[in-house]
Amino acid sequence: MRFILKTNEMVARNPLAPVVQPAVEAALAGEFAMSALRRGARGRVVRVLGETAESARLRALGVCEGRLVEVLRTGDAWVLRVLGSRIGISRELAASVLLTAA
Amino acid sequence: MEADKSSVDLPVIERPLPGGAATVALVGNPNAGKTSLFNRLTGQRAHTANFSGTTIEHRRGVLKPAPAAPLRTEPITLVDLPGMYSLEATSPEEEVACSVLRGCHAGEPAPDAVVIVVDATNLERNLPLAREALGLGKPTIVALNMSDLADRLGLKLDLARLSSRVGCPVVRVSARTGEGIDSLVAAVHALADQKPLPQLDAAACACTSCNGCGYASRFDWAESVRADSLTGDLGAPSRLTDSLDTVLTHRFGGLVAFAVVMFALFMTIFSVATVPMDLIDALFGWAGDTVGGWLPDGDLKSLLVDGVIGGVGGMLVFLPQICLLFFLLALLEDSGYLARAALVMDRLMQRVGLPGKAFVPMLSAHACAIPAIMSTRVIDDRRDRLVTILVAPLLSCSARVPVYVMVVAMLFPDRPGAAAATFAGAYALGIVAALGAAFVFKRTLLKGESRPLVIELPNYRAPSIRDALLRTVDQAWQFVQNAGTTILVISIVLWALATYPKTDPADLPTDDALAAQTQLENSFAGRIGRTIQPVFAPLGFDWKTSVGVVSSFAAREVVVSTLSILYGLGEDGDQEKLLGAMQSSQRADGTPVFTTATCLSLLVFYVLAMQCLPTQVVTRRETGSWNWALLQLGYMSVLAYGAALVTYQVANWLA
Repeated sequence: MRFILKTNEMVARNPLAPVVQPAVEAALAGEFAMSALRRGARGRVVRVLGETAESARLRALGVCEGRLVEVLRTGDAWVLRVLGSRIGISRELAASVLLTAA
Repeated sequence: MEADKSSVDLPVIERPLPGGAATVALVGNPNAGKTSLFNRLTGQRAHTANFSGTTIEHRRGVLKPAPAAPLRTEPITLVDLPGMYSLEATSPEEEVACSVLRGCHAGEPAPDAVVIVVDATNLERNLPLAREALGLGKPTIVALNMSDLADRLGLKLDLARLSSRVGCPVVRVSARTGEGIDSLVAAVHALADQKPLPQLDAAACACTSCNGCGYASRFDWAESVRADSLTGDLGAPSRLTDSLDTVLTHRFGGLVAFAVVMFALFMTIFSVATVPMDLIDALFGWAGDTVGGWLPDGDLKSLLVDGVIGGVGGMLVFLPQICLLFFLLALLEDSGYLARAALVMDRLMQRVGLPGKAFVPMLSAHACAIPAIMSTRVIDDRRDRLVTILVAPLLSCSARVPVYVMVVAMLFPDRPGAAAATFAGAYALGIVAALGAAFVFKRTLLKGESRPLVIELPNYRAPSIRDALLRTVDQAWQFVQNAGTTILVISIVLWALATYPKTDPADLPTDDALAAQTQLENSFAGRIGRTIQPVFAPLGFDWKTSVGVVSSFAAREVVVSTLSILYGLGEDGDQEKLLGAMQSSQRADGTPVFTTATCLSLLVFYVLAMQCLPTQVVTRRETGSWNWALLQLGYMSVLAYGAALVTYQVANWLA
């Protein structure tokens, strides 16, 4: 119970929270949020939601449409392999990356 | 070359004006080995400067002469721009780097040519920036760094194909071994000599994406160029890193590894640094004695020996620790480990609203706040960086150790267990106060969401000792330059306060130690101490302790020698005698001065008070304003006073 409360809290404080609705629509189009992936799974990036400094940085580091990402570690934080090297991102950002099957 | 304007008859070799020399910018991703290459290209002829109007630093230096034309008279200035992933800036450093590169940063000359540093083992990640930089239309060379590593990993690069796809010359180099540096130097000279050097027109500044494409197309392009020009085992560069990372970024394993690394770091600092520290201490002692021997007794001798040599020595004695910390942090950063440390600490640091990158500076502050504050530059967000700078001096630095030792020895002379616990408690108090203050700042003055982490985890590599040494010398020199002057002035002021007005020699006791005691009692410092004693009375401090607090305003460790003088033991009175004198000292009503409550209150005060002028100077420099330094002094003084007051009153009430 405590864990669930904490997760909700994180979503509420998350600046990307308003984009949850488009994410639901995206799911209908065969897209899914990266947060649904398990360790070792891959996907191809469709888009990165949000227009924050972090989403810009994600794109600059290779998490950008067309790139293949591989999840190397989940939890807090996530580690991805993308564009030939690894990047570490906070758990909350994993939900803002929409993927399709690789 | 330009026609010789001066009509001299003799064949002199002119030194051209700095403005006339060509500027070449070094551009690359943060982990492409740019700075290492810069050091190779300039040798020792480089210095650190701020980009005009900013606090963002870079190195600039004169490019080595080409082996083929060593007598070239027109030097080429090489500017090491901050590392960036893209010209679409996402941090202040990247923003400045972009505007300097585009030639639209006021006060910085537009670069005449560009050298793009590309990590040969990671073309896909490095080429997108190269593409953007090439889009600026300046003469450009790609320096393919770490090509020796690519060879060893069995990667085969087709340079001709790479060069034709990228659209500019490509030179194989290795900053580590120095291979290919000469040909790169020659190529850069040739590039700068292209006549005329293309001038960037004003329109190019406005046009931020001339190539009209975003990240996606650049990444696609980079991937296809890599596929075209590179063959071999593509997974090879990251294989070792992947296996190390299974432990080093593990949820628990990562924390354990981090604890081990940090423990080793501190063990090294505290064990290795003592040797040069003792040396410096002895050297300044010797210098004081020697200079003292040359000069007749009097104010000049006292000023030079006690004021100047004593004051500067007191600062320099911490320099070995500071240097060692800079050096080890540079090695850790170069190896790629610091990015992992930020990753595993992020989860914990987010709870007080700070990013994981703030942890290493905060830990470094346990050795000395100065290198800690200087190493906050890795923190992207300005607010997060300010908060880290503001709270760093709360963490117990090594200058507090002498004070802790004194107070703890007074509290528990015969109980080593309790003494150790109190000692650890002082450190814990510093940590709790720093995290608490960070929490409060992030919710009030520097309000902001804790920014989610996005960090590249580069491949591990053997760090370069040479680069780390160069960086250490550079940062240590900055510290000496900046803090040195201020410390000198303050040392002289404090000396004057403790020396004047002079007590009539006829009134002084004949015993040297007692004479020093009487002299200090009657000096301005002594009078100030007595005057403000009522302010410190609620904390349980007598006037002697108050003088100690006043005199340690600029450097906290001074309190020990001040108290030593005030208790009639001379400046270098030994620890046991001082403790005996303090323990037996009594108030007017016969009660002891240093009760448990007073000692605890004194300890709490010294844990939390600012009392370090060099740190304040560095804070001002790093934040660009005295306001933040004053805020730091203000809040820490209030916190120290308040906490000591509560401690004294509660402890008294309990007793």
